[in-house]
Amino acid sequence: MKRKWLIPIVILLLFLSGCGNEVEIIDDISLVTVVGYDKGEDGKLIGTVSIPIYNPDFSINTEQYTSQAHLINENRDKLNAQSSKPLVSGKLLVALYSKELAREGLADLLDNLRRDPSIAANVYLAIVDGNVKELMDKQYSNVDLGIFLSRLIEQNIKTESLPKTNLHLFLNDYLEEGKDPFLPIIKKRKDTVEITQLGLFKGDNYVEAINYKAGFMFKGLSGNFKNASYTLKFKKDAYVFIQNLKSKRKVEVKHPDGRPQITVNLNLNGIIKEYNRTKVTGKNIVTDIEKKMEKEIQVKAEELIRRCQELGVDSFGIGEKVRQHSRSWTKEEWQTIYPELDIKVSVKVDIQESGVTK
Amino acid sequence: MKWLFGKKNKETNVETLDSLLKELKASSDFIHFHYEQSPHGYWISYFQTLVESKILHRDILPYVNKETLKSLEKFKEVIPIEDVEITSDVKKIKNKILQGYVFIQLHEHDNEGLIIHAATHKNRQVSVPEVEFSVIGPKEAFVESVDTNLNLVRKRLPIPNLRIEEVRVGKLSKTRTYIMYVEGISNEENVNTLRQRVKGIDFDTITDSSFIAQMIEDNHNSPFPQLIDTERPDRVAAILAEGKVAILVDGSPHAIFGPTTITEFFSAFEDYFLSWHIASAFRLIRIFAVAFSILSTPIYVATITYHYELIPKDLLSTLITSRSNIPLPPFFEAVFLELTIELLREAGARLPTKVGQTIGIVGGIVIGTASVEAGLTSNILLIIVALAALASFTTPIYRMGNTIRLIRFPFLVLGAIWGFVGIVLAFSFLIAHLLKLTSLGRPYLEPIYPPRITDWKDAIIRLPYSYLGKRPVQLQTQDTVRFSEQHAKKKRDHISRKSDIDD
Repeated sequence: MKRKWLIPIVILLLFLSGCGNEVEIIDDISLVTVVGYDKGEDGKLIGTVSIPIYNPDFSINTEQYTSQAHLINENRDKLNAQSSKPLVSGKLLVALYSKELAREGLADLLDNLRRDPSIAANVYLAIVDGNVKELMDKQYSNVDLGIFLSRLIEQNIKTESLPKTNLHLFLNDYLEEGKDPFLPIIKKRKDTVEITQLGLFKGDNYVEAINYKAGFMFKGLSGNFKNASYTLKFKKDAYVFIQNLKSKRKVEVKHPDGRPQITVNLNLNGIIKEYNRTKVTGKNIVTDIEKKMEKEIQVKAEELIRRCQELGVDSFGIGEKVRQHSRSWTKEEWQTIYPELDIKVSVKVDIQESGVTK
Repeated sequence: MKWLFGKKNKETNVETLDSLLKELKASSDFIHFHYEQSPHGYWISYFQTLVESKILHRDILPYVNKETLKSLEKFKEVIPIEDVEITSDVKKIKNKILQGYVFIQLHEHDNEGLIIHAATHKNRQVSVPEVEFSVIGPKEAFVESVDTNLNLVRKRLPIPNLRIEEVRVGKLSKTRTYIMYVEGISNEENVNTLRQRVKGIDFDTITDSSFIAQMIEDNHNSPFPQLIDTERPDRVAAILAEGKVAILVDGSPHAIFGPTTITEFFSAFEDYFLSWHIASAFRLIRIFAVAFSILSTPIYVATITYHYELIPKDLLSTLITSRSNIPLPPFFEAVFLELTIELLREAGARLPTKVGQTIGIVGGIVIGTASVEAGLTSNILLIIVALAALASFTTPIYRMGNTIRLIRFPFLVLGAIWGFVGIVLAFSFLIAHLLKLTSLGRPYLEPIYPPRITDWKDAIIRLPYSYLGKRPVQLQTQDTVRFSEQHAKKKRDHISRKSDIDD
């Protein structure tokens, strides 16, 4: 019985060894960490890839290859001809698109990322204000470009005002009915790269950018967040810095089938870190600060929502919330009623501590 | 066909006492002489090398001189040794003489004679266990003399139920082999299986208990040992009380016991001397060490060769930089290093201790750094291979440690051919094999499979003693209760309440 199995196994081992995975020894391949696309002449794409070169002395150089083609994979073939080692995209970290391409729609370009099984779903996407190739031609600090850009976005998601975004979430927002995606817009400064704006999409088409400073509001309206900070102008020359801000969003929908009335409830709590006037003592000042902040955030949030309504962009997924309450929801109908909807924001701020001194 | 199997090793049949003595005289250490000083002319024969001369001169010869002792019966009454017998059974006489008995005849050609026990015991002193050393706990280890070993066990279990059965194994060596178990606790079936298998051994010389262990194992083709060997008498006493069956072999400082499970191979006996948290933590570390030792190098090779996508982005630069100058593919690099480590281990094991240490330093430091500097191997793989080797040495049972080191190679080869698919394939084979394996007919992978929750209390982790009231289900013992957990708790509560009042 044992012999019976042994022989087929040995035969399989000997003859099927070629049917395994493709050998891609890590130092014999070129890992593409960033891809970028610009709009070229007569419908062509200018594709640029960035590859880190790891030197034995632990220093890192980056190499860029650029070519023009109609298709992404055609482009990849042309780039492969320039490289000494085969290009592989399994370690892709960031994909960049120029504003013009984004305006025309990203769905076809992203399709390539979706189809390749070696590409992770947590690849960061970004729109570049300016020329993509130009941004990729430079090595910022002493790390690889892909790691630099992915850390830039990651860090902003964790600590600053950028809502969580990546390939998976973008596609999720795009494919979900009643929600529109967004992407960060990055711009090359002299020696560095900066997130300057948030790009709002309608479907897969880039529509409009909002200032990155409004990102705080944007993040709060799109979902919950933790560990943000906020500077409030309390009185003339009196500023308050509030830290460890936590926010919870709750969307209330009334009359979902007729003309929906929507209230976005924001519950914030945080601690006062810095106040440049007097000591923060007494309950009154704290409650005053709370009230002032509530008012300010409400105004800003309603402003932001109104702007989105004007553009017909539903970045906060309000349509999706309504759909959850309604059986008769349709995309077409929603798109017609969305701009005229009455969306209110109700904010509640709770300041839990006014700081501890040593 | 006869030339193929050789002649059957027939025992020479000694017909008469005369011819027996004649045959024995062919050996130069056999003494057969007429004791001249004796008035009755005794004939004394024995093996000089087997007999304790002190006994001979103090307890036997002085009585031979006495005139009153005219017959063997009288002689038997007088002599201050218990093991004395008058016999004319030639076969018995032969066996006894070969075991160190002195044979006395009244006249040279008598058919009858007196056999007197006067065997010498040349023993190593009982010393500290070397393989299973523990910082706390008893420091006695078995020696080569089975009588000493039996004493070491029996004094730990002073109960009449402790059964010791002698079986002689080996056509030439006739090694005294003892099957030990506790009547009324251990399952008859286990004892019978073991007894049957030991009696069924057909071999010429049994040098060590490991011979027997290999011959009576359920599956001879498995690299996994299915019986545990130990040099600790306390451990043998403990497993006997648990309901297992042990075998002691004369000339071997290791007892073997079963039935056992794979988890028992990763529990050191020291675990029972430490508090249960610490013992459990150490066991988990050992299990982790096994997994690490088997899988780390294959996973490294598979990842570097096929699955670069899995490497975290922060590790990329470290891994690629370390490999940037290496001409060999990862598989050959790994095989080179693994073989180096195995060479070092083998050289260290074969050489005397002091030279062995030097080899360790030469190999570990000089070869390691030199091969990295020469660009033959990457330093990361060197770290992984060295750690894997180190991890394999944490296994308390030496034979299991060897197995762990061996089964890494099929994983490595399959990982290099098919990547992770290959590793999964190798793992499936391993699991299938372990599931099929038994130890004295009992499942080897218990309590993991078949899942027996109650046996988890002393497998991968060890619970406090108050939870160990029941004997393992795996052993199917006759008496399943070690102590009543409730009764013990009541007793404990009673004592603690009492002391509170006293305070």
